[in-house]
Amino acid sequence: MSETLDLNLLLPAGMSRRQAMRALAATMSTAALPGTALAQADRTLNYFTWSSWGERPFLDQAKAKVNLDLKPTFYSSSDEMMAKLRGGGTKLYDLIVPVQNYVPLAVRANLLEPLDPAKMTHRKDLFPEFQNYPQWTVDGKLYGVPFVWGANAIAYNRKVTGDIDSMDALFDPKWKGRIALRDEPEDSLGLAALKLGIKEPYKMDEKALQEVKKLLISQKPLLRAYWKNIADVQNMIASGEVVVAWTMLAVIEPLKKAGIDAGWVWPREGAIGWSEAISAVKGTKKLALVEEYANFTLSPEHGEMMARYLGYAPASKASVDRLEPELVKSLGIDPKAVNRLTFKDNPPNRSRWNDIWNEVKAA
Amino acid sequence: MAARKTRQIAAATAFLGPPSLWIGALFILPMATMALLSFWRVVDYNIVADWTLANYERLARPLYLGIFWRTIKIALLVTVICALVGYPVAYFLARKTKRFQLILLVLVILPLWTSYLVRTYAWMLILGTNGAVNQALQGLGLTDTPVSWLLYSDFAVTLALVHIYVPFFILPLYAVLEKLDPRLLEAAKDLGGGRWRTFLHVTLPLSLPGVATGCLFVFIPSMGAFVTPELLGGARSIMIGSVVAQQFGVAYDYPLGSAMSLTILAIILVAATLFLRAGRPAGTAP
Repeated sequence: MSETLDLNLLLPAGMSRRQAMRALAATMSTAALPGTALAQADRTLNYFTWSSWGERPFLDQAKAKVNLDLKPTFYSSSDEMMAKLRGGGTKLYDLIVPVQNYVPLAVRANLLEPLDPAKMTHRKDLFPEFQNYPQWTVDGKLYGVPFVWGANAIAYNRKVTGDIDSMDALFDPKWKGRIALRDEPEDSLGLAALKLGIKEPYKMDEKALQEVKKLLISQKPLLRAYWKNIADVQNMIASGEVVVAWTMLAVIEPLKKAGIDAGWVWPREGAIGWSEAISAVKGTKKLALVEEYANFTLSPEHGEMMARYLGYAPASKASVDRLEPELVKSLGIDPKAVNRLTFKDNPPNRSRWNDIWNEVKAA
Repeated sequence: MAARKTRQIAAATAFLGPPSLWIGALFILPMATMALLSFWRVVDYNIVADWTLANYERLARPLYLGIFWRTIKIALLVTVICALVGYPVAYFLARKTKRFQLILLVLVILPLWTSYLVRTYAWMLILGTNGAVNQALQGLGLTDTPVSWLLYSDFAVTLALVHIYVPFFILPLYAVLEKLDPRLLEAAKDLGGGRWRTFLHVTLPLSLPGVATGCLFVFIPSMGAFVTPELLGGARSIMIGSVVAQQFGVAYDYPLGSAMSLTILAIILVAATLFLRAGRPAGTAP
């Protein structure tokens, strides 16, 4: 039951029997060896991440190519990542995958360990846009090199809605009761701002915030639900509850596999951009291994697998070069498209954003 | 004399020590921590110990007052429905059947063996647009288009909470009804009381303590429910439990979350006093 319902999003991933045996064997074989060998042999990393990056193919590739055992635990929003790290997670996890705008916040809250730029040997293969992406460096120290970039945008059931190219679909009475939005202020206030034509959503003043609030409250009678976990919105679309949703790209491939004619579009009003990288958690005893994996995520083979399996855009040019031009086109992963996105940033009045969002939800 | 006293102290320590430690470490200490936290504040993901009433002031805003009020209304509704549904079941179990008593009791308890998370997900399958209920309604020709208010609505939240908590109403009431002195019922009959009158004037008043306990057992967890409203509630069905969970799990605002929790606790204490006072059998001293 738990497998099919995707409860794994709520729980830390358990050890399989094979992993347990392997760990046991590793312990027994290293018990006989002196110090350095013992540290060498323990190549497990506790990986606090988004559900996509903890999927089987990623774990298998890490094991096969760099001999790392990743043990994933999942979060479903950047705020949740921060709250759990701050609430004791730094003792549990070695590495995380933050979105770029949370890096300065996490550094200020003393949650991250800087990486050694010299170890990021694949960095040179990246598109120039991502080699020195601003928010990943804080006070001159490097906290991550993005391996992936993308946008949160609109997923839709093409069979029901036909092709969609505008955010109007999210506000169209035709789909009353079949629209879903994400329960997260950065995404939902951000998209409403783009819909209103506000140029810099993450710098909105109180007046703009009030307009955004008004728009979102007026939309509520049309909504089915606000989703939290990616698995929930995926289920809503798969079961026909919802036909248009603001979501992440990760839902599309599973929906297609489930036989849904799932469409994905960056609406012409704009979409919310992000980049993600491996960062080391403060106090990890396995910094070298984290750096090794961070570098591996920039490799051509990791990016290629990610693009083929989930349709996410690699930051690595060498990865994109391995893909067929038609695939690149259909995935829309041309970095020239980057300027169409509004990248997530930190609003100066973040707690005000949270309050506005709660007011929308409670209205 | 002295030896006896020492023995008494030793015995008291042995018996009272472990429970005091238990309650102290797992109940009083966390409560005290929360009480402290609720007067502090968060700056840049750090909890700062400067004394402030700001958290309680935030709770007094229309936003949070509205959510508290919604939550109380839903919790009361769930409690009333559980009482209306649960009373006849408990009565039947305790007084009307001997043959099926054990089987029925097991049936009442059986749902508790499944995680309430799974039961909540099950309601999604039953109430959804393509769920069992809608399939049946359409199959019977009662409606052309799926009924959408079944899921992601207050209706879904209330229904699921009733389903999850009704055993907690039935069981304490059953225990009270089961122990009811049959001689009182016979006396009522001897004095010419009909079935209905006996129930209203003897059984019901004597069972009120069970009703009150049952109501409390339903009301308390309904006030704090957060998984069910999160999964089954729609865009409008926010409850205070979700907001508390959000403060601890997402917003890293432990002080505001603590203030909310203590406010919920206060509401529950008031409700408990009212329920228990209403449930005191007639003629007993306060």
